Amino acid sequence: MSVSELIMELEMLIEKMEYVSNYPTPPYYVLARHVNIFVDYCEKALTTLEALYEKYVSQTGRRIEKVEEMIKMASARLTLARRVKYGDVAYSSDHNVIIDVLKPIDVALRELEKALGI
Amino acid sequence: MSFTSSFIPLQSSLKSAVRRIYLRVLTDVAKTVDYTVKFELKSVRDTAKAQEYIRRAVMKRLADDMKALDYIASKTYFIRRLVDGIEVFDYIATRTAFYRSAFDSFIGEHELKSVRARAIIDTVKAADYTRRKPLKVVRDTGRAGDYTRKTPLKLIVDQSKVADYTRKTPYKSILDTVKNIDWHTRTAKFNIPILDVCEAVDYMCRLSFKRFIDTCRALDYTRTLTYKRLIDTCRAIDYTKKMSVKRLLDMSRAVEYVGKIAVKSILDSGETFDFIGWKAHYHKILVDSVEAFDYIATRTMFYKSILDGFIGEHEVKGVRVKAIADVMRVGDYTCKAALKPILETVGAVDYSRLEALKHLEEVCRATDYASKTSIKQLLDSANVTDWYTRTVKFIVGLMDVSVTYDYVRRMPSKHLHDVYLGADYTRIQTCKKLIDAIIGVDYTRRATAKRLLDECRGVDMSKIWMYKSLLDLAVGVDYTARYTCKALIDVAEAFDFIKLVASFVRSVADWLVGEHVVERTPSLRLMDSTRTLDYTRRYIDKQFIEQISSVDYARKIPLKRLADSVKSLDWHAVFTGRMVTLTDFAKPYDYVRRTPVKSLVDWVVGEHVPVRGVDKRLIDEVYGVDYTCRAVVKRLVDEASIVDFSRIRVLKLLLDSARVHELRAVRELGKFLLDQLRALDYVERIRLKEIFEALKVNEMFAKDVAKRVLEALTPADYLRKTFEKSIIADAEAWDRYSKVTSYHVSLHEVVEAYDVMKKDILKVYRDYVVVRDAPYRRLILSFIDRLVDEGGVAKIPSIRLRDKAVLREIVSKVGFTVRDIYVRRAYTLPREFKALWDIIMAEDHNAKIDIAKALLNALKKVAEKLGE
Repeated sequence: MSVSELIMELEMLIEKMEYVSNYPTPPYYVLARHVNIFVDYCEKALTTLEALYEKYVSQTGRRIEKVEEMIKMASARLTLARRVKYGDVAYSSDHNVIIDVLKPIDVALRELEKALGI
Repeated sequence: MSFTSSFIPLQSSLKSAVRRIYLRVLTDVAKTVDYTVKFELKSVRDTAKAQEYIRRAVMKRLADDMKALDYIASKTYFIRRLVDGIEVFDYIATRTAFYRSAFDSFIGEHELKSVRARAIIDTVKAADYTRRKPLKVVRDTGRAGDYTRKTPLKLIVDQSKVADYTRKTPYKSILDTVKNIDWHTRTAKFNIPILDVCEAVDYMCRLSFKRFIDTCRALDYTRTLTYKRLIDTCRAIDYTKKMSVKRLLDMSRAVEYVGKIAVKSILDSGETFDFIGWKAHYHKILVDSVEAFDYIATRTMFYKSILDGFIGEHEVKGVRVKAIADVMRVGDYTCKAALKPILETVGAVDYSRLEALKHLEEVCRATDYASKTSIKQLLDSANVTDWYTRTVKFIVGLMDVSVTYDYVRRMPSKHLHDVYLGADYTRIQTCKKLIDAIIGVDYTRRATAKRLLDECRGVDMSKIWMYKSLLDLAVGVDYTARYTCKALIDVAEAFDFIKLVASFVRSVADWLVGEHVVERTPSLRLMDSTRTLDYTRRYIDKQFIEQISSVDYARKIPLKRLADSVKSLDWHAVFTGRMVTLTDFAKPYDYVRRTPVKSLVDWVVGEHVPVRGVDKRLIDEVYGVDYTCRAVVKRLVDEASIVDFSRIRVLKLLLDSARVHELRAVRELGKFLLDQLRALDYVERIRLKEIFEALKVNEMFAKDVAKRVLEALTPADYLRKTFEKSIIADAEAWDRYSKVTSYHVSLHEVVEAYDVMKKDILKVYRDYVVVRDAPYRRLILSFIDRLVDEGGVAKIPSIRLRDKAVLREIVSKVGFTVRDIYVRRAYTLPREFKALWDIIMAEDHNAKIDIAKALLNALKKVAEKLGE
């Protein structure tokens, strides 16, 4: 799957995401599908990042250790993510794992941006 | 002759005059002595009365202190009750967590959970604050009470010392006076000056007693005032605690009531949902039946029309009846043949329907068992509603087919509609009741928090007043401390000899430890003092080990020598027994008899000289230390009497100023207290430095003592060797002629004499060690008492509360910043902190969406840059 296709899938996932509120405007609650969408998003984002990094390496011939380390860290943390079924309770750990995966992706992207001069 | 005859009467008259004058003088002397004795007896009687008054005053103050101690014991009971209150709070927290988990399990609605969780967290915060505040007040009160308890006791002890000094001084003066009287009586040259001295002594005695009584009265007033304010504060704290516990219990009952209503409503909703599910199931069966009936009706109408066609044709043509009958038979057969598979089909459909319904029922049961959450049941109801809508549309289509089914259609639909209306009403009512309950709880929480805050403010005011009164007392004590410290510095500068400085510094250290209670920040000083103590302990241990080693060496050497001497004695006895006969010993008998006696006496004298020298040196050292202590104590007592007088004046002035301008006086006193504390800190640092130096000198002194003991042992050893030689030379005569002579000294007696001397040496050394170590023991005991008193007030609840507060503070600050957007991690804790568990807020979820969008934009930029 190419990078453009992965980005399109990420856009579709973001369209499915719903803001929630404590006020009486639908949707009210954090439901199971919200958690699952984020797990899908993290998987796709990590795949996209890996593809972009490989492309960067193939174009420049240079490797960035910190990016590789962050990708490994995000992959390891993503294995702890849990898909929630209908009726299950979304625990604090489900929320925390997603944040823990997004953080190294962000760090790796910053390193890539720095290397590309963005 | 005439001269002689005239001189004799003159001489007799002169003698008579001299005798009269002498008798008159003697009479005057006797009268004066009598008067002096009476006067002294009167002074002694007055002194005894004053002592009795002092004894009663001291006993009365001790009784007051015992009452204060009883009150402190009742405060301990109060603290125990407070701990029980904390357990009640824990129970409330547990119940709160239980209801929160019940809400989460049964309702599962995020909004309601958030509101409830916030209300519960606020309640827990208020309870936590309420629990911390009285504990802090109690801890402060305990410290102040401890300080208040110790200060009068210390002052009483000081006053007792002064009283003792005051009691002894006139006796000493009287004794000196009596000695002077005795001397003057012998020399017959005393009269009026003695009376002046007695009057001066009496005046000094009365002045001292008057000052002491004034001091006692001022102290009594201060102590009574402090105790009264402390008791008032404690009563206020007790009342506050009772009110807080009562209100928290009321609040917990309200929370429990709300929880029960919520659970009951949830259970009612669950029953309603079950009823709706059952009705939907019933309605589905009806719809399946209607579909089957519709199919049958359609098929029946088709065959009826065929039959009508056949019949119509029969009527119109009127012929071929038989054929028609055949046809009818055939048609009938056909109809039956057609109806039979139709009926079989209907039966199969009905069976399939029943199977499907059964399967559906099992699925519904399994689903119902698996989920057991109201969200699922609500969403199931929503599905049923969709299905219901579709069914209604279908039934509307059926209305055109048959009016018969109208009744069937209307009844279940109306019933379902009513059921849904009822369910909706139940849900709305439940939510409304819950919201009302939450509003009520919130109002109760706010009202309770407000009342608790007001009461805490009241407690703070009481505490401020208590601190103010304690500050008054502390300032007086600090003033005394400053003067005493200054006097001690002057005394210390006056001493040049380093051993005197060491003793003096030890006394200063004792004093500083006693005064150390005033300090508000004792940790640094405790650390310094602990280092000093540690150093003192180590050096005492080292010295003790050195001294023990010396003594052990001194003990072992003569024993070894004696053992060697005995061996040599045996050898010489055997050797000389072969060489000398009995008759050869007749001539040197006297010499031999005298020689061991002389040698023994010389040895004893020679042995005793160095030992006595050591004893004398040790005793001189002890006397020197004792004299130094006495001199320092005397000067301290003199300074203390002056300082005490100044303190009374300062206290009186401070109390007056505090009554007139209390707030202003408090500020000034606070500033003054800080200045005094700084000055004390500075003096204490200097004293610590001096203590270290003095310890070094003391160590050198101890080493010198040990060295001198060893040096004294060396000549003793030499003398012992000489004695061994003489014993070896006289051994045979010693053993063989001791029976026939009246010689009484034996080796056993020599050993006994040595043991006596050894015991004396050890006794003198032990006394020296006891005198030397007394200040350190007092220092250590004072530190231990202080640490135990200050540490035992609120250690257990304070540690628990501190751990909880720190844990909560840490876990609430954890989070990440991703793409410049802060997102919080929902923390999880061990099960024992279940009441502090976190929930995922709406803001956390929304922040994740923003981060996802930002990350996607970043990925797009990188992809564009890489040419994708």
